[in-house]
Amino acid sequence: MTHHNLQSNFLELYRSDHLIFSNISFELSEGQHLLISGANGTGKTSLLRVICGLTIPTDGTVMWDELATNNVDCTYHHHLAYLGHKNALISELTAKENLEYSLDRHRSVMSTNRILEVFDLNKYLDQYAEKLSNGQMRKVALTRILLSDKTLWILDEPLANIDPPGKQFLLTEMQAHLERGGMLITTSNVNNETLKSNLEINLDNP
Amino acid sequence: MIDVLRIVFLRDLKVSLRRWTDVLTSLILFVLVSLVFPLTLGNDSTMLLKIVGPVMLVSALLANLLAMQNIFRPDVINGSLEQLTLSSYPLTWIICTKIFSFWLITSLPLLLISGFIASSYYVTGNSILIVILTLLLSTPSLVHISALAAALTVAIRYPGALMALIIIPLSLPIMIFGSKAIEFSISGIDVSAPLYFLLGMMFFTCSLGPIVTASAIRISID
Repeated sequence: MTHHNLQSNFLELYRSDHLIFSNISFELSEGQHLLISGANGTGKTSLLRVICGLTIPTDGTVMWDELATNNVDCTYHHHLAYLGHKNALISELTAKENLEYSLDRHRSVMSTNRILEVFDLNKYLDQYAEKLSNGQMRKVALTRILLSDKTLWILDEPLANIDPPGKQFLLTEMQAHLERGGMLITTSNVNNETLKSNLEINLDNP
Repeated sequence: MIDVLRIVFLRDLKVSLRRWTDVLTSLILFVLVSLVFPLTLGNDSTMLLKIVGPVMLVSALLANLLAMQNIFRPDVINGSLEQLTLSSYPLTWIICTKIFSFWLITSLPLLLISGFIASSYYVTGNSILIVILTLLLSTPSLVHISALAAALTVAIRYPGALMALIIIPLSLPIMIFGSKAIEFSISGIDVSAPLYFLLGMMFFTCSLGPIVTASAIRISID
């Protein structure tokens, strides 16, 4: 695996003349975890969307391996797995079909089975996504991330709605991902329950 | 790349088939609108032959307008469209694939049934084939124009009226030349000129449409 790094310089975002955040700079290298904390409505999700390129910042740049992420030569999107508040599950498809039709599948069937086992999803694979509970939908979406084999995981409140065994498993998986040299960006409004972070951005006090 | 497009294509086909009531609604609209005229005008064949062209195209436009409101909306609501824009594959090709699978599901049944409907307007012989050919050449353009309108209005909660306002002026050339093609064929004039125009429009919209639609989607999901 070649060495990657993610860098942001003085990110600033306005929404209809209202400042959401400004002067956000960080540098994240392999094996590091960035935690974005702050109360509700302080712009955690907006910052994540700016970092992954869904929202264009008013000012500042996001750089991947020294290249701006909107540069044509930038390989950012080859390495990025994002899970926002929406689970990106299509309600007309079953849980299994939703997993099968994801665009990037690299990890083996073995690990798929293990994840489904721990998440207790095997019984529900043939249910339509709309029939699943919120926690189950979240688990299917997270399974997709865990299987994706990407370097940078950007997860918006990954532990929300997940039951304790699921949380425990997810934390160990995230730890393993960091140890493999992956990068992780998460948000949370409860600091203590997530795993140890190397960097932290607190949006509460601008 | 091809693999990814195949996944998107198969997934969209499957989803559309499971939302079959949506698909059927637009087909029923097409049949109802176009059958009202022969039913109400009785056996006035000269009148029917005069109006068959515009009626077929307007019915196709209405059916298309109804169906296309749902091309991107569910994917935006559940978040899968933002995953597609974040994928490392070109969004233009993904959108192109989505539009093609949508065309297959919503417009192809309409083409198949249009021959029967044309015959209730006393259209006979080769002209029936021209009716089908006209729709074959004009529906791809209509689908691409409506996809653009759908992408522009996807962030709006009730986009119906706005979508119609965007689509109708843009599709007028297709309406006009399509009706002309059918009219010419019925009166025995050479139809190649309007058909060439429709073909040109089709290439124009199919080549530029997905590029513009993809950028519109990027802006809409911001």
